[in-house]
Formats: sequence, C-alpha cells, structure tokens
Amino acid sequence: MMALNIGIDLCDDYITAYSFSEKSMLSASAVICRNKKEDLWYIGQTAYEMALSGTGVLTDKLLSLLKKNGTSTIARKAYTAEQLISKLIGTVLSQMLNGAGVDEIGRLVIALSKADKADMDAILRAVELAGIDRQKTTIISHEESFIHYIMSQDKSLSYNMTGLFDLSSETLSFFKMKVLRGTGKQSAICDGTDLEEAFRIGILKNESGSELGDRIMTDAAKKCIGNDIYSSVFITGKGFERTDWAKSFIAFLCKKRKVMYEPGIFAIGAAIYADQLAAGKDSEHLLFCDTRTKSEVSLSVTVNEKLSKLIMIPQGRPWYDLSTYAELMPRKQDYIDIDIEPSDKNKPKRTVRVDLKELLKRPDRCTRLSVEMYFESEGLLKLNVRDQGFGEIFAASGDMITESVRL
Amino acid sequence: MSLLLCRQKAGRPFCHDKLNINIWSEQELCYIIYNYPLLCLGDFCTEGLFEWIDTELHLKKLADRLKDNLRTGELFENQLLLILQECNYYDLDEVMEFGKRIAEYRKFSDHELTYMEGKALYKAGNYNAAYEKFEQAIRQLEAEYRRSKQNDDKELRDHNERKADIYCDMASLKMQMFDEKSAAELIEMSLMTCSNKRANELKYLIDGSGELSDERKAELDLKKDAVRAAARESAAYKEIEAIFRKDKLTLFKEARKLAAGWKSGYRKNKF
Repeated sequence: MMALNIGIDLCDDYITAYSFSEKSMLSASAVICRNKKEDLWYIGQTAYEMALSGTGVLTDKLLSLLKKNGTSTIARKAYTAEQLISKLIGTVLSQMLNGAGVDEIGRLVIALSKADKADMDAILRAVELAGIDRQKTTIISHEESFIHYIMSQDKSLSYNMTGLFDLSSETLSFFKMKVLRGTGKQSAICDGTDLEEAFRIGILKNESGSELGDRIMTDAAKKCIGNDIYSSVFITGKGFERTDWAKSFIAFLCKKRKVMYEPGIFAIGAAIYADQLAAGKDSEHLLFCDTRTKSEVSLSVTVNEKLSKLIMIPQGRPWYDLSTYAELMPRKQDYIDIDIEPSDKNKPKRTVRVDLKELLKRPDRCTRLSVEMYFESEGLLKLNVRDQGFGEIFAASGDMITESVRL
Repeated sequence: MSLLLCRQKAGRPFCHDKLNINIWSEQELCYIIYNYPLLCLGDFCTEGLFEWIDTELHLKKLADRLKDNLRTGELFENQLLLILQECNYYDLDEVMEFGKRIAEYRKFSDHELTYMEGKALYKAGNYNAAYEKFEQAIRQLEAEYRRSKQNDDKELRDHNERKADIYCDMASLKMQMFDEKSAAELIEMSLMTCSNKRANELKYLIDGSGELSDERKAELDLKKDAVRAAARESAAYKEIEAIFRKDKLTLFKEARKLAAGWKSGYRKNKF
C-alpha cells in the first residue's frame, strides 16, 4: 500500500502542507471552524465563510492559544488548543491524502517557527489525537527546514552564504545559512532572527504603505546582509505574494546574487526531510540550527586501561528526543567531568564538574553509576547520575544527583 | 583516578555457590576473586564459569585462554590472576599484590587453608558452610598430627591449642545462629582439649561462669554493656521496636518475615 510523506509548516497565521512525490501543495489560513449544529470542521477560507454566515464558530491563532494553555468553547463544549490543532492538522492531511488517492501517511514532518520543547510536545500530542502514529512524526523548526530545502538545491546556490527573508502577516524573519565543505562530513549552519522591522503587510495595499514597506525591507536587507557574500537570497511568506511594492529591496538583493521567491519554502523543506526519513536516512550533512545539538558533550573514561572519549551527545543531532545512557564506575575519583565542545570553533571548550561525594559512600570501585543525559529544552542539558549499587554485593540506594547544564 | 566504562550487565548471572551470590558483571567477578580468593579456587574455576565469561560478558578471548589453560592443567591461582589482569578492574600493583598473596597459600597446610576458607565464609555470612569448613579443618588437623613423625610434647601442645581455637570459632558461629546450647558444648570441648583464655571468656559471656580474673570479668562486663548500648541504637534494633508498636496482626506478619530473613541469612551472603 502506498504511503504519502508530507511536510507541514504550521504557524499562527497559516498552515501549508507539501508532498514531494505528488508535487502538491495545500495552503490555508490556520483557522478552524466548527459547524454549530453538527460535528463538522472546516479550515481556511471555508472556515471564514462559515463564520461570516453564522453557521459556524471560528477559532484562530491556535499556536498562541496553545502557549497560553487556552481553550475555546464551541457549541457549549470546551476544546483545548491541542484538540483544535489536531482537527486542523487532521483536516489538512485528509485533503492531501484524498488528493493523492492514498490513505496512509508514511512520514510526517511538521515545521514550527521556533524550537520550543513545550510546543513540540503539544503538537505531537495533537498529531496523536488526529490518529497519526507518533513514531511517524518529526517536529523541526524553520531553521532546519530551510537547511533541508537548500541542501536539495543546486550547489551553486550555496557556494557562499544563503539568505532567506520571511515576511508574514505580522512577523519578519531573516535566516542566514552556510554550508561548510571540506574533507569529511559536510556541515550546514543556519541562524534565524526575528527582525524588529516587522510590519503589518496590510499597509502594502496603498502606495504610501508600499513605499514605507519597501524602505523598511531595504534597510533590513542592508543590515542583515551587509558586506557578506551571498550566493543566493530567497524570499517567502504572504508579504511577498506580490513584489511590485518592493522594487528597491529586490534591486538591492539582486546585486551579484540570485534571488528567488519560493512560497511554502518551509513546508517543502519539511517534505524533503520526510522523504529522507522514509528512506531510512537522516541528513548526509551535519546540521547546526535550533533543533540540532550545537555542542558535543563527552566524558573521559577508561577502557582497558586506556583513556578514551565517550561521546554522550554528538553534534548535529536532533535534540528533542535525544537521550543517552552509560554506566560508569569511579575509581579513586569522586566527580565526573563533562567536556563541552561547541561546533562554533570561535567558542572555547569548557568542562563542567559534577560532584559525586553524596553517591560514593561505599569502598572504592563498589558503586556503579548510571549517567543519563537528555534535553529539557534547546541548549539546556539535563544530567541524572544514579547509584546502581554493585550487583548483589551492595544494593542500590536509589540516590540520584541531578544537574542542568547550559550548553 | 578515572571513570571505568562498564559494559552492559550479563543477561544471566553466574552463581557463586559458596558465597551464595549471583555475579552479574566482570567488576563483581573481580571483586569476589580479589576479596575471597580462597573461595574461588578449586571448583569455582570451571568450564561453566568460562562459558559464562564468553557468552554473557562477551569476553571471548579471555574465555578461550581460560579454557585452554584448564585443558593443560594450569594452576587455579594463575587462572584467577589472568581474569584480574584482563578485566582491568584492579590496577597492575593490586594484581601483583594479589598474585603474591595467593602464592603464599601454597605454604599453608591443608587444615590451615580449610580454616581460612571457613573464616572467609564466616566473613561472608555463610555460617553453615563456614561451620562445615571448621569441622573439616579439625579433621585435617588431626590427620596431619597423626601423619607427623615427631609427636613430642610441644607438638601436642601446639596441636591442642590450635584445635581449641577452632572450637572457639565454631562456638562463636553457633552464637551467631542463636544456638547457645551447641555453643556451650563447643566451648566445653575447647576447654577439654586444653585450657585456654578465649574459651573461658566466651563461657563467661554466655553463662557467667569461666575461669577468669575479676579484673578481666569486669572488663568483659563493660564491653558487653557497651555492645548492648550500641545495639540498642542500631537501625536493626529500632526496626524491631517499631514492629512491636504495631497492631497484633501486623506484628505477627512482620515478625514472621523478620525471622525468615534471619534464618535465610545463615545461608545468604552478607558483606
């Protein structure tokens, strides 16, 4: 049975879904409307029409509602943000599957604007509510999605830096990406920033607003790009559906660079990654962005009397569900040194020492410790060191030391 | 100073019969060998152990060498040394010290080795097995004396003192197992073998008799009181006090559990 791999870009304003195999894109406002009388749900333009006609109750800004742990009462029933998002995603996926004549999801990758762990947890729960297997779902960020998109394009677009301006209804973001090519595994780094220069794209409807918008974007481009060398710059988002208002901005970008408009770029990037995951492979490159580990975390251990580096957290891996575990036995040592090596070579290596005195109350080498590491949020590593005892010779006490380390 | 990286524990443990303990990792195996070498000679270094080292600890090279050594009749001490060397739980100095220690065992007579084995079992809390070893040690001591060509007064005196001392150890064991009657009988046997201070002290501690000076009796009384006071503050004592404060049904239930624990403790390892 054929299964469809889908990438989704989910924001407060819009939801875009893309399937690489079908080359089909579905884009709609991220609003959900329930019929007042029946349990029927609608999204996008249809939702607006139903709400305007009075036959439905509309809820928008679902991600903001999620952050506030809010609910929406529709037809005397309170729906949580997760339930509403579940309906939204479920509706979009149904339409994509129907369009492809397929009834099963292969892999689903959802791109969010930021890598917020709480949001990622909630979206995964919403996906499960929509009847999608959690194991088939991956959450990434816009930064990571952009990397996947660019890495699938012609290399000439990323010989030097690659940029992206995303202008949506109320936000303006700039993404800067670089591919490091050399011997060994290539790496790609992406950094996204929300610009202060954001403006409501509604102003572009009239001439003076367009001029203002063009001036703002040109200044923002000069600030972001400066004298750096970019092979290409992409523009995306609702604000760039027309570019006749941004003549100066486009002219500035086009100097010695390729400039491309790609609607739904994040959904496409997510779909590219969904295809890769379905093929059983993660990216061929090391990725560094807000959903990937930016530092290598290791311990110095002894194996067969030789000092070795035990890599607990490798660089460039998705941190969201990354968890590593090792069992160690201190020998005449009452601490563990955690070595942190950032991927950015300009940042210094550092060591964090965890004191183990509380756990080591037995004779030397009679305490087996389990060391578990996982991420509480982006860049915040949690470390649990637990006493495992020493077989049946010394029973485990159950004592544990917990530390949080900012990477 | 270092952190040893531990392999995954064995899926199936290896049981050390004499210590009545399951071994789950190479570190535990090394610990047992290093601290209880006398209990690891002979019937511990078997094909079964080597097979377990291969299949459960995944140390195939070591297991193959041990099996080859077994076939060629290598000494058990050398087999233990090989395990310690290859597992790297103890450093080189410690392994060399262990090698010297077990080499010394060859200088001991049969009864001395058996007696030391009994002490090791006693230390490990395996009282029944320890008692059997002490009985065996006495039989071997008597056999050695019969085989001895000298049989002079000094040798007889040494033999009797040794025998009396072992009876005292056996009496102490019986006290640990709450068997005062057997303990008293063993103390009498010790005194019948030869008059000795230790047996008299034990006799005084048990029933208040025993040929001791008043000064020594006073010292032992103080020691007994101090031990009793310390015992009253111990966690084990407080646990029992707590049980007696509970309702009858809970009291009987927990008392039964505690007694069962004590009984099984005679056969179970306590470190």
